[in-house]
Amino acid sequence: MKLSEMKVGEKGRITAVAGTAAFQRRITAVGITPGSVFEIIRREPNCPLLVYIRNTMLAVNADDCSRIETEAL
Amino acid sequence: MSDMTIALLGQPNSGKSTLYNRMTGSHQHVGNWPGKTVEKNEGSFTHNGRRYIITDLPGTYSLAANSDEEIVTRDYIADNRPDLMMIVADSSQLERSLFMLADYAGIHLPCVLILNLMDVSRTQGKLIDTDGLSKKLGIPVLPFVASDPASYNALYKLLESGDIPEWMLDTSGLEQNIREKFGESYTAACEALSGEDVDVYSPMWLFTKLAEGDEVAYEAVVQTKGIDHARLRDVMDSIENGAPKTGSCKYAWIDSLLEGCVGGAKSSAALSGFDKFATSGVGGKILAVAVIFGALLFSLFAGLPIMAVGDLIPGAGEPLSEMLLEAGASPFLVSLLCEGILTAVSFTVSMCGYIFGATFVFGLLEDVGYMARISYCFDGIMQKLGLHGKAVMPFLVNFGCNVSGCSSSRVLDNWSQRVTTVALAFVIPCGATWGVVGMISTAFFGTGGAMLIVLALFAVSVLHLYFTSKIFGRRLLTKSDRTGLIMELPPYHKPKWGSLFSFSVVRMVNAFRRAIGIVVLISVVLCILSYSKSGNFSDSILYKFGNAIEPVTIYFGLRWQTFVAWIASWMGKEGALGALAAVFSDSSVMSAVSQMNVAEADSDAVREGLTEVLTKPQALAFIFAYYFNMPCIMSLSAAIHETHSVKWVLRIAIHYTVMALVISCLVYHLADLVW
Ligand SMILES: Nc1nc2c(ncn2[C@@H]2O[C@H](COP(=O)(O)OP(=O)(O)OP(=O)(O)O)[C@@H](O)[C@H]2O)c(=O)[nH]1
Repeated sequence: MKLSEMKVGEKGRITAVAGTAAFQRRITAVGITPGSVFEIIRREPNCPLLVYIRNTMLAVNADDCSRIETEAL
Repeated sequence: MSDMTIALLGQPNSGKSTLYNRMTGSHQHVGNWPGKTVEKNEGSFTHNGRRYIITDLPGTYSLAANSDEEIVTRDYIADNRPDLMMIVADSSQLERSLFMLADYAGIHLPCVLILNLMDVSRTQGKLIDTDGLSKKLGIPVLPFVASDPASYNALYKLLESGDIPEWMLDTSGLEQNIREKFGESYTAACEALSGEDVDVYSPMWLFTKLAEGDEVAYEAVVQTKGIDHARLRDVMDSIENGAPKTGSCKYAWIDSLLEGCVGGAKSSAALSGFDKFATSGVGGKILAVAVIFGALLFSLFAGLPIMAVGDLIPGAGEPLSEMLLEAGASPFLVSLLCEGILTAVSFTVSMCGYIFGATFVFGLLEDVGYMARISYCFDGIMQKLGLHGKAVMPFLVNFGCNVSGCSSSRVLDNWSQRVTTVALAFVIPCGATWGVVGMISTAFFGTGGAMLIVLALFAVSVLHLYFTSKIFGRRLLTKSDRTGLIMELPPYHKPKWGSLFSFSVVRMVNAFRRAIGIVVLISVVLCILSYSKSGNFSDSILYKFGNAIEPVTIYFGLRWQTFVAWIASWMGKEGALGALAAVFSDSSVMSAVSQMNVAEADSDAVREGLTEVLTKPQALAFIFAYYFNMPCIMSLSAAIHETHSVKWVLRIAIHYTVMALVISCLVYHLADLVW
């Protein structure tokens, strides 16, 4: 399932990150890599997704979330 | 003993700057990294007879070559090879924060790990075994509270140790992970790299960077002899999704480091009650708008003392000119000095008030962590302009002052986004604009009418923004430059008043230095043009010129008086009021320009003069032309400084000038149909 499809309160694990190398580097640096465990905190229309991952609250653009594959925990 | 050089490396909000400020006190130098708009902070301190030179590297999340900050950091490390790298991590967000250490691993320079914000992690209930970590890493690990003086003694003691050259990070665990993940590719790449360091970089470090598709590392490797380039390329080309893979290896290494060394409570994922509101779709936006509004009011207030000083300067003009005239100086030169130059100085100083206020207040919002919430709330809107949430800051700051707005465009990820943001944010007029708009619109249309005009200005602004974003976005933002928002919502912090204050002062002084020359020049030119022997404005070149070109300017709805005012606002938005005062009081333009803030009576005269000379459509045309005029020269010079591109800033300035005239022309001819 894509990160963008997960519901608020759900927990999951990242399985793959697609996209350009630049995007992959950016997203890796803030802690989103295959294997990371996360929780969806907030999803509001027209706002980025809020994800809690590796002790950090991250706001991630919705389009970018669709490049991130996850599995529910 | 020789000086020792230290560099501070860490992620944003790890507390590097606090540590740096505490250690260096007032022995600091703020500059720019050559060719980059990245602030360079270098300071020094002396301890037990030895001098330490310490550089605060920009806060970044990694050492990938994603941004200027990261490139500057890497170049600094490789070129300067500091005697000691101090890697600062936030112990309250330890996992993510240690990523910098993992990304550093493989650079062969001595380092220590400083676990900062221990007070915060302690209140989280987290227990960190720093000795255990130190054993695993092979370097000293220091628990730290940057705001607590007691922490520094241990640090100083560490610096006096003779073993510093031996503090090399043990990267065997990380290398193990990489070998397992990449298998043959890793071995082959290391062989191709001939197993030796390039500069300070170990083969493992280079391998990870190449796997991540890092062009800068690639350049460095290409130029190195003794490497089997063909083989290396073959190996690297066969690797896909390098960054996620190396990232997993690094985090797995971090997890293995923390295992057994960190105990106690896990930090929680929940948002605080306040943040629940601050990040809600509607409530968050309302709160953000309210905070921004308050911030703008407060920024005016914070800048007041400086603006007051600026306003005092022209007062010196009269006594000074009398003195000089008595001493027999030529009246022309006296008027040049006392009116032209003094006015320019007064303007620039007053503007510094706006710059200081806006930089300080929005810096405060950034410092406490609320700015990230604002960026979050407005990300959707900024996306419509081809930008993302972080670009909201320059737009907001521009409401206070366009000069500080330009400087705050630094938060953006890349050059194209920065230029586009600067280009678009100029649609937002600075605080000084409203005084003139308010005065003229109430004089002609009453309070109710003025409100309608403000609404109309906003409506046109939206169209302007849309249009401008199409024009500049298409040329500046390629697909790869349009990155979406990826941003940490940091925990809230207490502001650091001291460094915030000095930061705002430095920004202000820099802007002043850049602009004063050009403002003086323009003011002198205006002064010469408006000079007449008789002292009557109607004998001046400017008057004659104005009258001569009125047939053209009236096409845009501008009488020659308002046209002169429109030009004068290039110097500073308030300049328009002074120019109007001049043309209606028949005195020299510059002396009136300089007195714009002082005399209430003057603005009455202006109001009367205006209502006599201008028709309503002409007044409306001027309001629009003025409101959408290009920003003042100081802002343009700030924009050049931030973007390093005279060419693009000129394009932006021309675009705004043309747009202003087109808009005023349309407004004039439409309004002419009505009245
Ligand atoms: N409680 C606590 N707060 C700290 C400590 N160190 C820093 N802070 C606060 O953390 C915030 C961030 O600190 P900075 O020094 O600005 O962090 P930085 O790493 O320089 O961040 P950038 O300027 O973005 O690179 C500030 O509000 C500090 O006051 C600490 O040890 N304990």
